[in-house]
Amino acid sequence: MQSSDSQTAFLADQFLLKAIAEELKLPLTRIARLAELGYLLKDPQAIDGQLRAIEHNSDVAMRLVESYLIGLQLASTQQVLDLEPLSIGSVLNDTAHQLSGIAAEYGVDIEILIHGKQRLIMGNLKGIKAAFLNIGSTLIATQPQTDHRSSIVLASYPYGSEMVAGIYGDQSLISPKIWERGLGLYGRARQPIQSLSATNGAGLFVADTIFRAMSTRLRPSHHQRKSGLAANLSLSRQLRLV
Amino acid sequence: MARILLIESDTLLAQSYVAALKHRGHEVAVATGAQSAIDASDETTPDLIILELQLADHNGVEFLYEFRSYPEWRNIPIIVLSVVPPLELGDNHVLWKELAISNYFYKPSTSLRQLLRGVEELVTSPA
Repeated sequence: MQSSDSQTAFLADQFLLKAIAEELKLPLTRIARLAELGYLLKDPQAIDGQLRAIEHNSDVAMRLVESYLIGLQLASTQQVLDLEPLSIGSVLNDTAHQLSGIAAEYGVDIEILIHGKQRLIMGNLKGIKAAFLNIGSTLIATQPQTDHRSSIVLASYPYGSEMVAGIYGDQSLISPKIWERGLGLYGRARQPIQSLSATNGAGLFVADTIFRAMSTRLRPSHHQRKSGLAANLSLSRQLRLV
Repeated sequence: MARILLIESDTLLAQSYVAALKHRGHEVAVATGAQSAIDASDETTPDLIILELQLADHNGVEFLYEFRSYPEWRNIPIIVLSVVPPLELGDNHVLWKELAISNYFYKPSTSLRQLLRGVEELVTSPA
């Protein structure tokens, strides 16, 4: 007989899987329609753009699946979690580079802001990268369509004995109340975070799962008049002694 | 040529639908939310609307009730093209009739060709 804790964990995992399955329909539908459009238009000048968009949407879908698996692995091996000293600046730079394709599709600019003295944090490289890629993909797809180009900012700054790292967009889409409500609804509601329109936010919930496995949380945050999600990451203890 | 208003919250998907509809000679305007759809319809009355029910600023069904409350827009054909499966709308046939939904397509399994056929059953294609 399962304990109440393991039943809760099992249910949470089922809800996350359901949210991911729903979310995957979006990039897969885009890929299917783009491929069909190629046949329909038979326009050699448009083909390059369509193939590029197919590639970027495949990346988005793969990242979501991969991140779920990483989260699962981290959660199940928590006793011997593979943590290492990391430069968060370098992780954000790499994330920005990997998001540049899908950002170009949406006409969103990416900026990196690394403030203050950068110190190494303790984290799981694969996990942190996967989490930020999913947050970035979600925020890029949900930036408001306006006359001027929108942008997202990948930022980090020291905060006491931690570093804060987050991704921020032009509009305040997720308040703490909306975020908490979303965490309670994913897998059960079609649109747990209604302000995110086309997406159900599965990428954000997967990112939160990864951060939880590293004993931190994803939380709504503001940075330089932008709004998004951030996590507090512990400094590497060895380097703190130096 | 038909003037089509596409209400679609995902901009990348919207681009594919717009390209396919324009290829068939239709004029297409895109709104990403309910309010911008009302504004766009106010500016130029569309001959047909293609609507995603999952919107950021409104529930699509709420939008439909509001849209149909304007007498001049009561007879504009509306195709629902949504990620929301028809069954989730409950007693959908009553709802379709009440809101005068001409056709309902489940987005993940509807090809561009099926959508174009659905559009051209309701408006004349110039192509």
